[in-house]
Amino acid sequence: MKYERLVVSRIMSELMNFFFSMGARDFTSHVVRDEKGFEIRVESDYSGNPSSKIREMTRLLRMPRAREMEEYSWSLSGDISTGQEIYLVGIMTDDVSVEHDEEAGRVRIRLTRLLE
Amino acid sequence: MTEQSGKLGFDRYLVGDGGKRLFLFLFGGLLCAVGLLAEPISDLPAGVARILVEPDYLISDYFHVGGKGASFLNSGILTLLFTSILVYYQVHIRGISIAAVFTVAGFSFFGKNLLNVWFILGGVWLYSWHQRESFLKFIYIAFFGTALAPLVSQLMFGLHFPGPFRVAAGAVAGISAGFLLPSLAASFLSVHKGYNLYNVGFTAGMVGTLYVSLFRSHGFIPEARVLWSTGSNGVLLPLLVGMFLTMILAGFQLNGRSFKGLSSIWAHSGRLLADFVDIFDFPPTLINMGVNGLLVVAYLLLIGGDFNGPTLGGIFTVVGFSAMGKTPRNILPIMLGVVLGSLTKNWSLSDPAIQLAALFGTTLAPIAGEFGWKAGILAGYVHSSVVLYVGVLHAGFNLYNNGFAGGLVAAMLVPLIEAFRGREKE
Repeated sequence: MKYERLVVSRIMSELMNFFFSMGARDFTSHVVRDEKGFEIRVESDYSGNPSSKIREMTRLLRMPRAREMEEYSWSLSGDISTGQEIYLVGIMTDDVSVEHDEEAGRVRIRLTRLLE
Repeated sequence: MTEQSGKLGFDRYLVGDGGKRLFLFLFGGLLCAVGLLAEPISDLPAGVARILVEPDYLISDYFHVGGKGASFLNSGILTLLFTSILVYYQVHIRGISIAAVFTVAGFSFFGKNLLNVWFILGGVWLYSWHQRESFLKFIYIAFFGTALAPLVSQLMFGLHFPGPFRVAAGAVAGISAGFLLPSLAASFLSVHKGYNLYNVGFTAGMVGTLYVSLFRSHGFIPEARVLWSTGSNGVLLPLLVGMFLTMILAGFQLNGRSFKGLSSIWAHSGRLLADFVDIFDFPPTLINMGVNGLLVVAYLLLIGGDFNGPTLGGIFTVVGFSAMGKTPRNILPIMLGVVLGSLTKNWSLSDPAIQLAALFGTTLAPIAGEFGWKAGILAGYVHSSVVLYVGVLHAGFNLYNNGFAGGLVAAMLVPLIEAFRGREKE
């Protein structure tokens, strides 16, 4: 993929949009790049009771990577967030882990995107 | 505290890749079978030959050019070949795969044929080779990019020049157009933000406009024409109704004799990239495809439309994109907008271009899905005007004229709708 940096920044933007749309007040991100690829860590709070949205987000983030769709779709991510676009983040990443602390109202996400 | 990690496997689906590939092969096989049965087999080679050498810019109904049998055979063989390409590259069959194959199948009734599509694919392959990337990454751009196939046919068979020059000109135009598409398709997505489902149609419209401007300045552009056949309703109607009812029944059966998941599909806005097969699984998607197929067939019947090559293309494209974005909830407002347009504008719903505008105009379905039915009606109303006047820019060489017009409409309407719908919720 020619536009790796842009793709990763779009992924970040998509997640930030998503959590702000859920009333986040405290969103932090951390991206590490090495020769294998990118590791993206995100932690955010949210307001209200969006458990079903978090469950759906987790399901979409767990969608397997689809390299054949990236050139067609990567520029759509990070633009508008209605929650459904999280699917794009899912198919552009190789591994994911989502921790949801309902009592504290916080979500921690770790995503990996491997280079070829 | 809950933790979930790792990607989901493809084994989570009710129907695996084998089943979905079989579905696409069965679809192609059915088209071939209809072609073989529609006319005496001895007539088919001549019909296919006429389709191959016909300049086929919009609107060139292959039923009119080569006959029904040859048209179905052309579409069926291309469907089988394009599905085989997906199998060769071991692509997981998703909604976008079904949309791409159905779009190729549909447009193979009025513009794509066994000769002209390969030059576009060759151009995209050349681009991937130049970028040192796998062709796999550009496979859908290549499939949808065959919208520009008429460029090849027009230059090869529509010019009064020596044969070798015409063949070389057509090949160069097709390959170069395919070469340009991948780098442009991604950037044009951000123009309409995914609210125009036929994004490559928008891109192809821009590329076609550029080429046609060059051709026009050299005096190479033909007069507009409409080759439009009638009288096939009696044959095609039972076939289409049977096909879509079978899809609904098969989807229902595969879904554990239920409509589970269908309401989730219908609640989705459909904005790109809404891959229903990936997100909601194949069986409910198949039901959605069948339902939308019946809806557009009913629409054509109600307005007294014609079932022929181009409208068959429209129907199959709607059905294909029902695996990636289209639902009854988001296509009906667009079609209603076109109907309302007929009350105030100087055309009839049964005019060929308007029949196609109502079917292909559903490229704007995500506007209705995201912003509501009123916005959808407005989009359909505006689209039915825009689509009539933008075709002149690319002289019909971009088969996805509605995708081109839809891109322009979405690029204008979406920012306005967003601006006037008030502050975003905190």
